[in-house]
Amino acid sequence: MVKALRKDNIKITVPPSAAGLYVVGRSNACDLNIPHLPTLTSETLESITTDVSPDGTARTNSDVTSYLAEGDIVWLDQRFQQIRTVLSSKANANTLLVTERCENRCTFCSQPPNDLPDTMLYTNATLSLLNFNSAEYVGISGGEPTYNRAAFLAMLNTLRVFGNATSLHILSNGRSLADKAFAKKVKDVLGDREVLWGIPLYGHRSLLHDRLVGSSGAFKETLQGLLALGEMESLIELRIVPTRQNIRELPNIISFVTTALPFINCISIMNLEPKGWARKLFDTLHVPVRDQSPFLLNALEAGKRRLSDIRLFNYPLCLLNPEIRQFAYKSISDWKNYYPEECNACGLRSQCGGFFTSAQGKFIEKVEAQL
Amino acid sequence: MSEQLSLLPFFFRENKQSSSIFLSNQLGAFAHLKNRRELDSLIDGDYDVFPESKLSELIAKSFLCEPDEKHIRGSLIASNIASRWQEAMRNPSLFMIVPTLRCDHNCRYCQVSRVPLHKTGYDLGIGCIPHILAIIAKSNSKQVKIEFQGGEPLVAVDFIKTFVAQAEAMLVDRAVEFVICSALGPLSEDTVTWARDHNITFSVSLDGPEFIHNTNRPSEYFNPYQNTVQKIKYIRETLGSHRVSCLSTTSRRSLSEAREIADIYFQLELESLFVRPISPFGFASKARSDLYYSADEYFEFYQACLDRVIELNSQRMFVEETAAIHLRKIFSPLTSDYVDLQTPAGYAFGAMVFNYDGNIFGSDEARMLWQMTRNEELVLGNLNCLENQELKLGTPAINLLSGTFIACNPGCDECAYQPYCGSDPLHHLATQGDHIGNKAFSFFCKLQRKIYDHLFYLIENNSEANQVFMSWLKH
Repeated sequence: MVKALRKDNIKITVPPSAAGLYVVGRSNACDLNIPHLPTLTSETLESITTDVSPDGTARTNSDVTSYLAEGDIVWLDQRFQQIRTVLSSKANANTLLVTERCENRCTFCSQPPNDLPDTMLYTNATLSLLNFNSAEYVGISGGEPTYNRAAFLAMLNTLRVFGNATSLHILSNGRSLADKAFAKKVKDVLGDREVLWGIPLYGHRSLLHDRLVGSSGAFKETLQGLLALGEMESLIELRIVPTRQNIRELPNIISFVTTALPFINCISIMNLEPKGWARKLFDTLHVPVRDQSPFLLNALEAGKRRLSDIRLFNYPLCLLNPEIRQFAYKSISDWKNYYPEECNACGLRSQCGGFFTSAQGKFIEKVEAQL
Repeated sequence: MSEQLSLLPFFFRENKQSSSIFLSNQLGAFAHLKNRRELDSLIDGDYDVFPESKLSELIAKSFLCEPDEKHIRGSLIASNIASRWQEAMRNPSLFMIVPTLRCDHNCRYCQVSRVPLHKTGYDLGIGCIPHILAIIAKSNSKQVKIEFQGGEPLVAVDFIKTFVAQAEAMLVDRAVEFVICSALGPLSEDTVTWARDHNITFSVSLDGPEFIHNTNRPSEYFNPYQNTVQKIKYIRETLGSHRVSCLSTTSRRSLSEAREIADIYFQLELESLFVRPISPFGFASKARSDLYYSADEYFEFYQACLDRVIELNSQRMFVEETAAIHLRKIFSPLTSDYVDLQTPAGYAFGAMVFNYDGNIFGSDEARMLWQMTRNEELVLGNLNCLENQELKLGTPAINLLSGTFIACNPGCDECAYQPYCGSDPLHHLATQGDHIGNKAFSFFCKLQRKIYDHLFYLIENNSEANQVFMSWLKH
């Protein structure tokens, strides 16, 4: 297993009574009138656990706390016997998972859905957001965050009631918003909170999109949801994942999106993350980046005439045609991001987003250091 | 077996030369078919004649869709039309002020009917400034452009300086840009030094080579060409080339000099060339015969200008403004704010003019036409008799604007360029006595059609021009 840029969990012994959410040291929101989480300090850590680290990676409490920053939200996990950061000021991006349920069955899902109860996840996310009180965007991810509509609305309403103003980047398939009554409720609970909706669209027609997301009627509902968001003048990031099934249509998808949905703010073209189902079906889904380049080039040409903000996510620079490297972003979260050894000699390393830690062996293309 | 697909509403236009068919729709998407036969096949649902890739393109551009998408595609199209109308009906962001009608030039085509320098009673009083600013402040536009027009506005430079100072103090929450539209006759070094510290640009009339410029724009005080060029250079050297742009008004004499006009703009290190036809107002309407030309003649001249500008782009970025305006209408209709090519028209919605006598107009052309006709229906109000600095549009203005939704104008309703075009009610009012006008006889319409024909031809067939266009769009 390769080492990620940031370690987000440490093995410790967690007795059942100590499991749960904590805020490290002083909370960012300690002066606010909110439901406070218990605080975690070196002393409290000592009082709840005697054996700091069963695998020997951290010998003392200060080894554990050095991973953490004051105000971070952590989860003491009894099942996995570990302390895991939920929200951290040291992270390059923070994302909360609020559910694993979803109405889509995307063939390349990196986080395959299940139907486990999720109310607790929403509650924990709400408490984490309130206590972390971030000045930066926090991602809300799933599953489909709006699948459990009541829990989603309750989360946003609780944040609103307690005066929390954290900006949210909500990753949603947008289908629930096709229901106008629900969309109206979402608009009301969001108020003037800054929200960027990240909505995926994988085709320019239902035949293609519905097949890729494994659900008929999905294309129509996602478009209705997008239109509802457009009407409430929301910020929208449209997300496209190229696979073998849609790479040839990429320029057409971009052309559809930029003409039919002129109200979107940016497009992110996202290279496959070899996790979950994408890993299982890698050979039938994945197009090597070197083979994607001509399609990416055409798509960017078509798109940038109409929309200035188009980005390539999860594309290591050395695999991209030099002409389109300027569109690449450092998009991978640090806890699952690494640079293979070949990168050490590369002159572009500091500008490059590197690789997913899951991209190894047959899941990584030949890396070539650039001068 | 033919694929199951549904046809969505679209416009078409046959290219007489190549016999290809241009398709467009209300999303602003466009495509080409090879010939009339393909058009028939598309309409008849005979999709087998098209390769898979063409069908995919037509679906991506919303000319065709799968049957179950018909409703949502319709909603998206409706939403798009609504957005464009809403955008055009936002509060005005362009405010033109005429501090004086006096001028040191005696242009043969003067469209505003200027008066000589010594005349009195043609200046706007400094006391009006707070009233104007109160009206501007009521517009909730975050970006405001204030243009000083004339006459020669620099004749009233003290008015301008006072105005800028008060505007900066009052409009603190807006991004305000000031433009002085001038031939630079009275421009002093002091004024340039003063301009340095404010967000001011100069928009200068320069008609091209000396013999054309001096024939069109004589002055009894100096050699107009020498004076203007020398001062353009002075502004550029003192404040930078982004602080001065020029505008060339086309007289009959200019028609054969397209290349020379473009070259002079290029040599003066200007960032762009903007040529425009003479508007049928003011002195131009009287001197028509030897100034005027047909839309075909003007277009031929325009095309030569554009060709030369594209050529010059191999040396450095040099924008041809008319093409740039039209390209923005094609590729980013929601961000295009050019008031003379909007639907509903930019009249009063997009712009407002404060005349030297306190009269308020909905466009520069409206004040020109009023100066000729004194038709009171063109006056939106007067600074001296507004209640609470509140300007309400009266019935004549509303009637005029109602006629500028080109989707409902005869001649525009079926035009393939409708998604990119706009309305010029004052042009039609001045030339045909009717603000909608018969488009078959319209100089404006004929010219727009020719410009779009040409631009779409270049976009499709000329990769050099296309690359240059792309760089202008980013600009």
